Amino acid sequence: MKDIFTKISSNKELKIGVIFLIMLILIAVFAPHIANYDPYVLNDDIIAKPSSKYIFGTDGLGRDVFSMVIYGSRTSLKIGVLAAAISSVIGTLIGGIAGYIGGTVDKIISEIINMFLMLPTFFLILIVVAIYGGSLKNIIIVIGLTSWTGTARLMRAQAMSLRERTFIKSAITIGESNKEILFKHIIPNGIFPIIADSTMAVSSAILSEAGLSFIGIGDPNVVSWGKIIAHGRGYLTNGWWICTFGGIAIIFTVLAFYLIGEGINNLLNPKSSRLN
Amino acid sequence: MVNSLMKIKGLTKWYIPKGKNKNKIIKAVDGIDLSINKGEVLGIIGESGCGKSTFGRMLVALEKPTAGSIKFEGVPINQILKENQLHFKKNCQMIFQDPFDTFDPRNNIQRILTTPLKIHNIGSSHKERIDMIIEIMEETGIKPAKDFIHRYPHELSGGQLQRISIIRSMLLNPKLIIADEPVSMLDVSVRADIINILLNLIKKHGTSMIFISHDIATTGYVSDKIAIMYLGKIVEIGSTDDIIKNAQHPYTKVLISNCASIDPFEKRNRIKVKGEPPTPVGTGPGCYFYERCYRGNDRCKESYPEMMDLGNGHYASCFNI
Repeated sequence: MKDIFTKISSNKELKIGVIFLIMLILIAVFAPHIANYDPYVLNDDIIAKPSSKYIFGTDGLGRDVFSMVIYGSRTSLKIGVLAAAISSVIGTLIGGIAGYIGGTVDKIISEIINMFLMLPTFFLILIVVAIYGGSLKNIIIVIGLTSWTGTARLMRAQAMSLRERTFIKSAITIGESNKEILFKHIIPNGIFPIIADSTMAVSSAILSEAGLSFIGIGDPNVVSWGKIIAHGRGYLTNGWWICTFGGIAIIFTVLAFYLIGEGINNLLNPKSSRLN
Repeated sequence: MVNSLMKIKGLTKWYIPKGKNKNKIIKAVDGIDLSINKGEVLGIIGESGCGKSTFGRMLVALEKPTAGSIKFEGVPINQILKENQLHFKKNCQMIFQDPFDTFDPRNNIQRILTTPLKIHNIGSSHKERIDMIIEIMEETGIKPAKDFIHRYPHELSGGQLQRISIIRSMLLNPKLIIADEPVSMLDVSVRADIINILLNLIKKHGTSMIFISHDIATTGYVSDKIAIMYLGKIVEIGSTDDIIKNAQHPYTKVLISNCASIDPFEKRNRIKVKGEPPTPVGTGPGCYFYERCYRGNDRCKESYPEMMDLGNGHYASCFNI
């Protein structure tokens, strides 16, 4: 435990990322205590400037931007983490199977991965959301189901190199089944780069959701940063604060996950870590 | 033969490169006929790249042969693998060259050793299995075993790991063990120990062993029978005494005459070999050893010599015997 702590603090990117993330989680958990207004309640002060009453001002419908940003963190974190979890699980399984089994199975799966890579993911998400509706659940599932290709390719490469190692051969000779080898040896030994990759996937999922909300097809029932910006776009000339604070929140979150991913990557890969 | 354990006939493994170089087939193993009896130790000697490891891997079904058949107790192994894969795996075990990479680095010794028992349903409870592994660990000199079972592979030395590897194979009580250069990565000081542990265990259980190595002295010490491999083919096979003291094939003679001895004053006529180390690409049609052989003649260039029976189970494939 102490070991992990010193490792985290030895890496600047990881340290900053983890501090940001802890702040974000605290904000999301204690949102009702931090926010001074209900983000869904409209009030009479429309497009009020940032002041001591409204820290980040109010939007075109008189909602408190600060409270919206605080509550928005819940939506963004939920989407980011769940979508990344779905995509990493799918990617790890598909990539692991392709890399370990090899041969025809690998060829077929690789072609499927290439197909998904060629698809303009964002438009696919648009179509699915347009057909099945933009509830939070749908958005999470759709983002998760379309963004697993990177993880799959990474895991496939890992599995292919692990497959040739002696300990896999020895597991085969003592009679372990392919399923046991895949889940007990290949995946646990190849998972570290995947963890780093998944952390970055969280930030791209948050960005996808923000993009969807921005063009107006996010979940209409929850506050999200993308929606704050989309709403603020119309008031950009006379209410700069609406877009700005929503945007800063997105940058802050994406940066936190990106730094953590990059930090883990550096820690695990001695070749890429800089000499201090 | 009644007590024949494994019969190998025309075993071949070719690697065919993709693309244009279709004629550059790599003949890693090129037609091997062998038979291993119960309780026998067969040594296989050959230089790097002669296909001896590929041969060993085919015997435990890690690689699929291109052609030829392997019969285990009279039944073709393809059939056994289809019908009862676990039964074959239990009876045919392998000890690998690199002890540092034989075990999953994330598993501790207890898990490494109990896994094969669990898979093959040996021992009725977890506790019984642990007692079994502790007993055999103490027997092979890993003492105190209780301290070791919670350690991870990287915390053990090469010699200790190779002992664990031997224990793991022997726990299944196999009928055949393939030892692929089991001591070549170990420190010289522990080699004898490991070899003796291995020999004691297989004698005790009546296990047969195929001992693959490039070290003639070790192989001579271990084996009842020795086969010499050159470029995927067996060039000479016979009892250990016949091979070491009465080698007939020029390649065997070269190997034995160059074998290092501890006595610096011992007089020997070293036979020097000319030519490049061999590659198994584009061999034939003549004798594969012709280019480096010190007594080749025109006949050797034209066709590959058949195995000649020299009596007493001693065979060699050379025209000039």
